[in-house]
Amino acid sequence: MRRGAVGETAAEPTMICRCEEILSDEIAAALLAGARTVNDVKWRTRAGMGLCQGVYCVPVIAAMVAQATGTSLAEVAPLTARPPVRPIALEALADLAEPEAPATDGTGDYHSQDR
Amino acid sequence: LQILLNQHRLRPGGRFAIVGPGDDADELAIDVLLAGGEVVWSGIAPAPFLEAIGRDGVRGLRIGQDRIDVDVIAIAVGRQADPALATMAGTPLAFAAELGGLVPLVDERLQSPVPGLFVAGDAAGAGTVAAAIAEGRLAGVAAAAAVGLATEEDVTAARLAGGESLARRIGLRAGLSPVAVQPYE
Repeated sequence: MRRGAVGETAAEPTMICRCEEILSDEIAAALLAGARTVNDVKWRTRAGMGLCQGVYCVPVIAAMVAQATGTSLAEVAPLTARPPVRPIALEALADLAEPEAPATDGTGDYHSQDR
Repeated sequence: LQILLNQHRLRPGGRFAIVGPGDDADELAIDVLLAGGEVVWSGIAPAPFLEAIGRDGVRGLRIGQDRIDVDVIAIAVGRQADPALATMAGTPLAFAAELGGLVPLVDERLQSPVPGLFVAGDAAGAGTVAAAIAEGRLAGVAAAAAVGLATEEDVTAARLAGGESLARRIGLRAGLSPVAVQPYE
C-alpha cells in the first residue's frame, strides 16, 4: 500500500469512525464499490452515524472521497445536516425542576390501576 | 480531553503525552498542567515512529527507539467549525481550511442569506475565544441594526472593536464558493 496517503498509516487498518467502529479498509471498500460522496460512505458503512455525528471521521472520509473521485476537498459535500446532539452531564438533568407529582387514584398507589 | 478537564473536572490520568503541532497542543498542555497533570512528552512525529503501547488501555508511547510510560495520549490536530444549526436553517456552506473546514457563508455583517439569521463564533468558523467574542458582538449589533435598534455607526464600531483578527476572519469568507449540500428534511 502506498505510504502517506490519507487513511493509511503504519498500522493498517486504522479506526476512522470511532463511534461506529468503522475501519479505514471498510471506507476504502465502500469507495471501491462505488461510493462517491460522504453520504454514500455513511449509507454503506454507518460511519458518521454515531454519537459524535461525524465530528471526528468526516474530515478523513471527505479526504478519502476527494482522493477517490479526483476532486478537491473544497468540493466534497458534507453529511446531511442533522440536529446537533450533545451528551450532557447527569448534573444537568438532576438540576431540572422537579416534575409535579402524578395524580394518584386516591389509594396513594400510582400503579394500582395497572394491576 | 479539554471537555473532560474543563467541563467535567475529570483528569483521566497523571502522565500525559500530547501529539500534534501548534497552538492547540500548547493550549491543551496548559489545561493539563492546570488540572494537576504532568505533560511528559509533546510534539509531532510521522506515524511509523509514533506508536501507542498497551492492550486494554494506554500504557505508554513509543517514539522511535524510546519508550515512555504515559496514562493518556491526547491528539491535538486542530479545531472544526460547528455549522450544523446554520446548515439546517438553509445557510450555504463553503470550504475554508483556515476556519476549520466547511463554514456557513455569511457577509461582512455575519448575516447569512437566510433572512434574519446571523452566525458567529464556532458556528461560523473555528478560532480563538477572543475571535468568538468579537464576532458575537458584531453579529448581535448587526442583528439589532437589522430591526432598527442600532445604527450603522454601532455596527462599524463593533467591527472595528474586533480589530485586525476579526477583519481577517471576515476577509477569509469573501470569495468562497458554496459546496452542494443535501438539504435537511
